[in-house]
Amino acid sequence: MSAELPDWYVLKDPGDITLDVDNWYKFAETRLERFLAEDDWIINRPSWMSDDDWVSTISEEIGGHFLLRLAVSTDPRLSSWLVEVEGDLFEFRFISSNKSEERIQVLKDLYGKDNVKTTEEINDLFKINLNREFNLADSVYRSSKYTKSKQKYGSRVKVLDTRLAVRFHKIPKVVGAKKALLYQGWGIVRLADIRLSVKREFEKQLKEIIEKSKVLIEKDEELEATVKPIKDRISKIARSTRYSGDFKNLGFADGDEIHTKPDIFPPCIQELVATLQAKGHLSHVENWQLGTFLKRIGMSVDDQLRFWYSNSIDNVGMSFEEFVQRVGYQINHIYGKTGGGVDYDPPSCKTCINGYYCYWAHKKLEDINEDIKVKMSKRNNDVVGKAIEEISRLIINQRYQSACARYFTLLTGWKVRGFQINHMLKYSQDAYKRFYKKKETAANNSKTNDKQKKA
Amino acid sequence: MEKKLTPEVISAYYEKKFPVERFMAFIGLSNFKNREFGFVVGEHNRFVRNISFQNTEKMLEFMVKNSVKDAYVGAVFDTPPSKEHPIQKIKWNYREFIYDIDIDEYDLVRTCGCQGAQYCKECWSLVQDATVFIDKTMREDFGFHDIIWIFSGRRGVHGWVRNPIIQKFDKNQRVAILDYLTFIHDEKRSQSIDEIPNESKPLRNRIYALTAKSYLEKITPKKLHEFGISVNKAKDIIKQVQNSDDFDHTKYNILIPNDSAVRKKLSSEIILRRYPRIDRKVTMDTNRVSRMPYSIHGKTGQIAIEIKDIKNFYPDSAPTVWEALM
Ligand SMILES: [Zn+2]
Repeated sequence: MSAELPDWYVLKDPGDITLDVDNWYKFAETRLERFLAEDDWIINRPSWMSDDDWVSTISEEIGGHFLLRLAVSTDPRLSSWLVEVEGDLFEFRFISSNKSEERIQVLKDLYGKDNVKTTEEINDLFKINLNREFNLADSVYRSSKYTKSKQKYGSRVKVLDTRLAVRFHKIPKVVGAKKALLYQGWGIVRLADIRLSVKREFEKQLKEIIEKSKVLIEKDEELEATVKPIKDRISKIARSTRYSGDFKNLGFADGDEIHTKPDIFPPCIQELVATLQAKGHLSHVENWQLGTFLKRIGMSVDDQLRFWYSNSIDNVGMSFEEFVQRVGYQINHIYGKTGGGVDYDPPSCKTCINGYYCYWAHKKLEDINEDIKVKMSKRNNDVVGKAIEEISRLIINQRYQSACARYFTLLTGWKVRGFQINHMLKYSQDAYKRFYKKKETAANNSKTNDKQKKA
Repeated sequence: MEKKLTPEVISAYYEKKFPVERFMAFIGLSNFKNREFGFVVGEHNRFVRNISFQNTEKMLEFMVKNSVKDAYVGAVFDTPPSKEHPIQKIKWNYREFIYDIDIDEYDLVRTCGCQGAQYCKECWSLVQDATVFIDKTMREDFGFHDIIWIFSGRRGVHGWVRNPIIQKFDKNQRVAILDYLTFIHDEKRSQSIDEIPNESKPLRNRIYALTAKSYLEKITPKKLHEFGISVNKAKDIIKQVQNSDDFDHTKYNILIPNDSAVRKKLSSEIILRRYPRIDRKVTMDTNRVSRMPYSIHGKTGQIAIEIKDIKNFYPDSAPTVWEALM
């Protein structure tokens, strides 16, 4: 076998790695610090490095990962944090790798070796020429939303445009979204279109492995005690990088009607409101996203019923009372007044990206650029242009939450911690602070309803 | 022909004429005893489920004795389903992937005047087209070649895809196939049509080769003119399509150029009017029971026969139980 799994692939069986216990904490700490720095790093062997040095570099890398795995295994919240950051790192390395055989090996490991092939192998297998049969050469350049930016992000985009074959039932989401060209049960897919599915598969398998480590640690008290300091450290970090605020207390001034201030709505919500007003209806999940958001920023059930009544086309020829009778239960459900009585929060950004509505993930790049230009027409052209460029690059790399953070910075001049937005409410909370809250020090935090208008 | 479907007639059919071997070949010998069956029985048309049988003799014995009005086949479980072990409490093992195409799904776009269970030669062609389209898609795009089409007994057809691998598919995998095939959304209200994405080339080619052909050969020049095509050009297009034995996407592209404004409007209209409409619930629900192949439809007395050539099949060409007994 010529091609092998790459060294950075942490799901690979590490073989015999011996770790000096004295170095345990150092390895774990190194990896944590890099996650903390939001720094996606690649490990490539430099030409000058000796075999021994390279082996120990790999051991540190893999060893650090193993220790983090052990440390989080007993806490579901921490393990989902680790899965998330390891998932991001994996995705980055997978896309950045310039060896296509390496990628094929990783995909074979994740999906099963008989479920992944190169397009050349498909051509041989079915005695066909996919390029000619489906005129593939043209589609890359004409269809892709990267066209304009192609020169700028050259090599990465080229990698993302390469095609390979995965059995269709391994990538159901991609097939359902009609992003796979299907041939005899094989999805002929561009890397750009499966990277998210690949990442999810990686995350799923990592989660399963962590579950298994749990068994290991639960019957070994000594081991548990050893990894305890690492666990505590992760616990601190996980808390600081993810939004864990109280959604029921967002710090809005009493009596301030936040829903009348759409300028603090995050882009996803602004877009949903605009769509609702233009089309008269949203999809079920979009209703839910908007409804739970409006609730949490303080809109009452009655206000919300009126809001939907005045914006939805379901009300044609219908009185408000009839409207409430027909669709009121959905809104009551959002407020936990029917069904299981759960007081729902709006979905997190990750969830929005994967199934609800995320402005950055779901709107066309050109339209986003246009929106920003229009919105910021009074601002300095260079500043806006630079921001648009950076935002575009983040979107192309599917870092939607960072794109949102960059936009927030453009809008407010404030930096976002961790350089990503994690929750729509956090966005609004900070935007509110920026535009409406009296600028005051914590010391003279007198309660007042005064609204400081936007400068 | 006002014949009454009596218990005697039903029992006689299952005793003498039901093609047991063919049925067994159809659902497969293995795990027969773990397969769920459902029946409509008795004067009050009671629907009973969670029934299983040791073997086909026992199954037929039951059907004859109870003169079952309708018979249904369900999924295979790891133990035999029964009252004591209903399917909700036992482990699901596998199930064929089943398409349900019914003429009444097209009520919103039928122009012949038929509604509900009614059909005529004109609207029945929608079901025929859908069958051909789906059959081809399952074979060419998804690589499933073991597909059998069964007459539903009244106004539609069922496509049974039986390859072992698809029988194990979970809900997400089944939905993926449906979503891939779906272009019409919110059937009851907005009828919004998806654009055909660039990656769906096989599907797009098929839409132009099959769906567009039947749309264009049936349309009037006047109607085509409404899309902004001159009447003369429209007449020419229709004639060319009608005379073409091997119409395909390349020919469509020549007749209706890709960059024309007409093209987008026309393509959505073609999909709206003639694209397959699938009952998603049936395909998604792996616990659902489906009409037993070769059994009698309790309302029409027709037999749910296998359809070999859909292009020449009409609901009245299926035999009735009385004919079968003659
Ligand atoms: Zn008709």
